Amino acid sequence: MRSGAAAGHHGYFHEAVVYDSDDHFQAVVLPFVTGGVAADEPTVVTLGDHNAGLIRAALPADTPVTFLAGGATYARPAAVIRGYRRLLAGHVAAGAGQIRIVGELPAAAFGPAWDSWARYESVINRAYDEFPVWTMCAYDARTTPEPMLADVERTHPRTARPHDRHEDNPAYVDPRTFLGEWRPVVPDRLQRDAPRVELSDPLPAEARQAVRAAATGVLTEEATGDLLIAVSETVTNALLHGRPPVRVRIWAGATRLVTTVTDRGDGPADPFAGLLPAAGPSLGGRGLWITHQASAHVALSRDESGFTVRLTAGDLESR
Amino acid sequence: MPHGRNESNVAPAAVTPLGDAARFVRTGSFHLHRATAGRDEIVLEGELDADCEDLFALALERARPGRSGEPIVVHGERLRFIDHRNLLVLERYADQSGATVVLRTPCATARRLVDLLDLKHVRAEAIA
Repeated sequence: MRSGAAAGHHGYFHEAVVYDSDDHFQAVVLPFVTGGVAADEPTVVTLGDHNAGLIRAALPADTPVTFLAGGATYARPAAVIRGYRRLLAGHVAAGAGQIRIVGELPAAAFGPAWDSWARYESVINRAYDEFPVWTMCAYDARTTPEPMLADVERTHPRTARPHDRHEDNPAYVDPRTFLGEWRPVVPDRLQRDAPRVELSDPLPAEARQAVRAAATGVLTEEATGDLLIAVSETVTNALLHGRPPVRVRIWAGATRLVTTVTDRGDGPADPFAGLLPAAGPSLGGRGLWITHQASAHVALSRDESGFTVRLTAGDLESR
Repeated sequence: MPHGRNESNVAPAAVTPLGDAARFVRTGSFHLHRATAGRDEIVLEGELDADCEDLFALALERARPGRSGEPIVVHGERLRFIDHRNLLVLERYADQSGATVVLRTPCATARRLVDLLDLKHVRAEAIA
């Protein structure tokens, strides 16, 4: 049994909350949280400090709500999908009839990394649809740029408003459509200059060696390791599935490394590739998924030069 | 033998990599040999990626650890890199042998991938 606006709904009930004041935010989100608690549904709050504080202050101290740190949870889209799917599967296995989650993205999402978060908001319509989950994704209309709000409307089937109103979004499009569009990727500032390293048709081992050298003094050991995984997988994919020549370029800033891998092919035909978990240990096609799991930011683009995977590691640029 | 090398008491593995991986011509190389300590312990060194997936599977078959039913210990003290394909080779080998593989390595990327892949038969342990 599911309670509230999602009662009778099968699968994922995905709503946006586009608010313009604390009062507006609380008028929508507080009833959502208290309604979940009252119905004995696992209720998760994954917000930044300010909005989490608004919810905390309005609830009695012993209210059974799980607070997760917004910034740490929403670090990389594919990892969020993996984490939430595990959390949801656990609650369903424990007998939950519905799980409620309210979340908001950290400031770093609203920069050049936005494309990956827009894709996240779209793909989760598929990725969470096997679970009885109701989420509210909060966006501050005062600080979120208009084109990003347009993406929010296109990726959320519904918008939640005060007074328990839940309205369909006419602009919503199926994830297959949204993900199949190749939106221009915002260049990283580092890409204004010539790359520090350029390799033509490198082997994965040679690309890894170039990354190790370029990351020295720029990235932490952990970030370097994650980038090695991602670059190795991406170059392997380009060599196995793309069309030659394969070019690897690396730009290094003080605390950030940008790596692009380009081949002359069209990239994956499956718009969900990389974002949804691979089906089984014996199946192929895991490289792009692992790349998404290991990378701070992955941007995919297609133009006349071919298919490019851009991997950004270290401190992401925010605007 | 162009890439991965077998050493010690393991018979030489294939001369050329098979399948798609044959498109690669150079690679980081790996060594696999039985540890002298026990029949179910092997030493794995170097770098393993798509280049040597088939060769690694063959080398593992030739070394044939895991016949005693005890966990197969892979000493990865000098393992620098292993990609998901080769971890899946280990997973399949362990599954077919009815054994568990314990990969002991300081290589953080290997441990991260074992975790990401949710492997059922391969466990990674950190060592200094």
